[in-house]
Amino acid sequence: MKKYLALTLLLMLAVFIAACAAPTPAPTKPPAVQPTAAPTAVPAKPTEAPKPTEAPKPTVAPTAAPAKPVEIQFWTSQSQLQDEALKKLAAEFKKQNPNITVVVTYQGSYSDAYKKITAAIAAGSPPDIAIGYPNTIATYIKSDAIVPLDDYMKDPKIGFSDADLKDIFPAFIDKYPLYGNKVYSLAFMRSMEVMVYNADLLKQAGLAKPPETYEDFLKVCAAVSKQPGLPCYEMPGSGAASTFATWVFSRGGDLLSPDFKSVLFDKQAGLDSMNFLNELFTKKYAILQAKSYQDQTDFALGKVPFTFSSTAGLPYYIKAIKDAGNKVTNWGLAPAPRTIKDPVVNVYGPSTAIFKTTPEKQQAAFLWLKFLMSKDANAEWVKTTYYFPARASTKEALADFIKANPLYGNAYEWLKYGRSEPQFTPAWEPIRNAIGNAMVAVANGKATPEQALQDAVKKANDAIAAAK
Amino acid sequence: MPQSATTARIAARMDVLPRAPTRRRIQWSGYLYILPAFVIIATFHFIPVFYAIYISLHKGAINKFVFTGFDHYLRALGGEEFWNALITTFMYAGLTMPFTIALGLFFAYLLYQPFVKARGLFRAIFFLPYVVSTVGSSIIWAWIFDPRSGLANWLLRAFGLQPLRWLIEPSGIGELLAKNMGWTIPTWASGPSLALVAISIFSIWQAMGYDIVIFLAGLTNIPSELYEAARIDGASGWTLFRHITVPLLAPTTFFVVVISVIGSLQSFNHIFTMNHAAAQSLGGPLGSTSTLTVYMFDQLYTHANYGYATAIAILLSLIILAFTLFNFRFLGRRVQY
Repeated sequence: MKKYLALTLLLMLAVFIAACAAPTPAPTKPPAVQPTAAPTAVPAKPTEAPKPTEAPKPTVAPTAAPAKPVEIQFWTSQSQLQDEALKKLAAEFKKQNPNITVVVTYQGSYSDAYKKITAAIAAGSPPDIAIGYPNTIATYIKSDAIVPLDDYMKDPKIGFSDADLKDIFPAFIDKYPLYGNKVYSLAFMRSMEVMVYNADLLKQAGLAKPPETYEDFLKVCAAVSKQPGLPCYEMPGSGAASTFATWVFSRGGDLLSPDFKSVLFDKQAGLDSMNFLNELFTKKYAILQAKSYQDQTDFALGKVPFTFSSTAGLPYYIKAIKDAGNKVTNWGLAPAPRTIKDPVVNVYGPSTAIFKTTPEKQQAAFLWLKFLMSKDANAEWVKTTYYFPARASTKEALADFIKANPLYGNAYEWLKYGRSEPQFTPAWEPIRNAIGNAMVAVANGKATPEQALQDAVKKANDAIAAAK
Repeated sequence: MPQSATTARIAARMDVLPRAPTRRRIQWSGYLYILPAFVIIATFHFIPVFYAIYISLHKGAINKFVFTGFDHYLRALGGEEFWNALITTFMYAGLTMPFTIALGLFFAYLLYQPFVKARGLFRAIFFLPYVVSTVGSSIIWAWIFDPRSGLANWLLRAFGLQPLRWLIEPSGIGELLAKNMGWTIPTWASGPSLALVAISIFSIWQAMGYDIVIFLAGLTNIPSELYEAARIDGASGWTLFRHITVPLLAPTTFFVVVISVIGSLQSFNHIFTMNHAAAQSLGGPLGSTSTLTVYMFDQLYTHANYGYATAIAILLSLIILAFTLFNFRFLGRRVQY
């Protein structure tokens, strides 16, 4: 009897241990290219510099594929139409790389996906590749869960050619100063913070074009606010850090130092931006939103002349205006007002990182990412999402789309004025929150612009110290 | 069986003869029966608790930890944010618990009266908010509190009152009242923010049904003879309630208090959802609804401070444990079963 019981206990223990120790691929260091990988197409010749007389010809498709079938898990925060578009691209990629299957899985909002990935890393089973904001990717780097992409990018068989690297906008190659300035993620999409305006309401204020100075902006607000129930600007209830960043950039300032180690948003440009916000609220030109995207709905109803929004929101504006019965017909996008000579736009957005899994999967994931950044695939993606493409050459493939969407076309031209908020550090999310809170404090009259900024700087410094 | 052996056994049983030391037989099969439950509880309860304690003593990101001892605990106890969150937690508990229990008892007593028909239907109606998805009902309540189109402000306007900003209002209710009266009060007297009050109203609405059902069960256990005897002695109304219902309901009230204290200190879902639905940051307007659980979540997911967030979780557990022990030690004593 005892023997029988002991055996049963042993068996149960073995089952339990086996269940706990499900095999997970051991993380590996970023490998060199697998020698077994057979190229499926004629690779570009990276060793040969492009001849000066010839225009560089970027590669359009991955150039190597694994010898054995590989399945990679691609976690995204792209839902509905965007999810469908990614799945379509994955099918196209499979045609070109029969040995690689990409499983595209929508994991909820960026915040939800971050929580799931964090849990997956802790459990030792991260996805193979995932989309996320660079500041969240920075936390994965800190956990040693991400593969640096420099070696893959330089690899003669599967990497980018010199022509590719010239074609790809620098803002789409993410270097992380806190982590050896290595490339830990690449972006196949970016958007920018722009001012959305109602031209009819501007006309009522005597302005024929969108305001280029903050004085003109306030002039419109003064005119519009004479009509009851018409605020000039509706600020999100949690603040608007990206809008604040745009206002600071447009005054020639910056948020953090280039090494992300010291705060700059409390300098003159930051203070002027906060004073501008204070003026909007003290003069009752602005209100706080009580619902997400309330400003978008009100804009579509012709109840607000300005919003500040990501260009990724453009399809939603078009839909909201249509749903509201096309009350607003004369509207457009413009860079934020400025005090400096040239316009400036805040370019930001999600990036894609590859997790430490197995060399085969990491390579397959890189090929998939490279495919997403290729001209034709990138163009298809842009047409669905209104994001900006990673490559200059994609513009050719987007000619018809740009013609049909002049608003997008205009914004595309401002990419050259792009600056990026300091999103390549884990400190950026808490700093965003600190800036947002400072804006809310000013909006509610709970702090002067100086006090609010001082408080935000203290929190930002704490976040910077914690990020080290 | 030999006679002597039987006699010896009887004598031993009667403690006449010294008992020979015997080895207790261990019934291993008993352990086998509890093994599945033990494995489940250990895997999903004890191991995570010990792992949480381990993380709270370390610094690092997700899976790379460096031992830091009690640094996180000292940082929490020495920092303003933790204490602010603790005060908000107590304010929330103070706003919700007494009202939930008092209203729960009131409605339970009302439903217990013989003149109330369709008691089961009413009980179901009151219990419904408790079983409805918290996320769904909190979003609906966030719409009710919408400053522009919500039902709450519609009602205020209907009574000729000024509309309020509810979930987006960081000002304390004391401050708002004083402002209406034209007074100025010190910051410490401003009280909980209107946003926290709005969340508390939802919480009372949601939790009251549970208390009603528990109190109703307690009320039905009070023997009716006691009421009849008291009536014969001339007692009625409030006297019956005060001298029979309240003392005999004490075990039920004690249970409700213990559960409510734990529940209110652990509240998270509806606070998170209502803030989100009102386009607020995680801790509500200017952090005025940032209870300890929200603060912990913020530290974990926004700041990626895993060790610190876990230390807050452990501290919260200790606070809950202290309150529970206090309740058992001081309130439990007064309860007569």
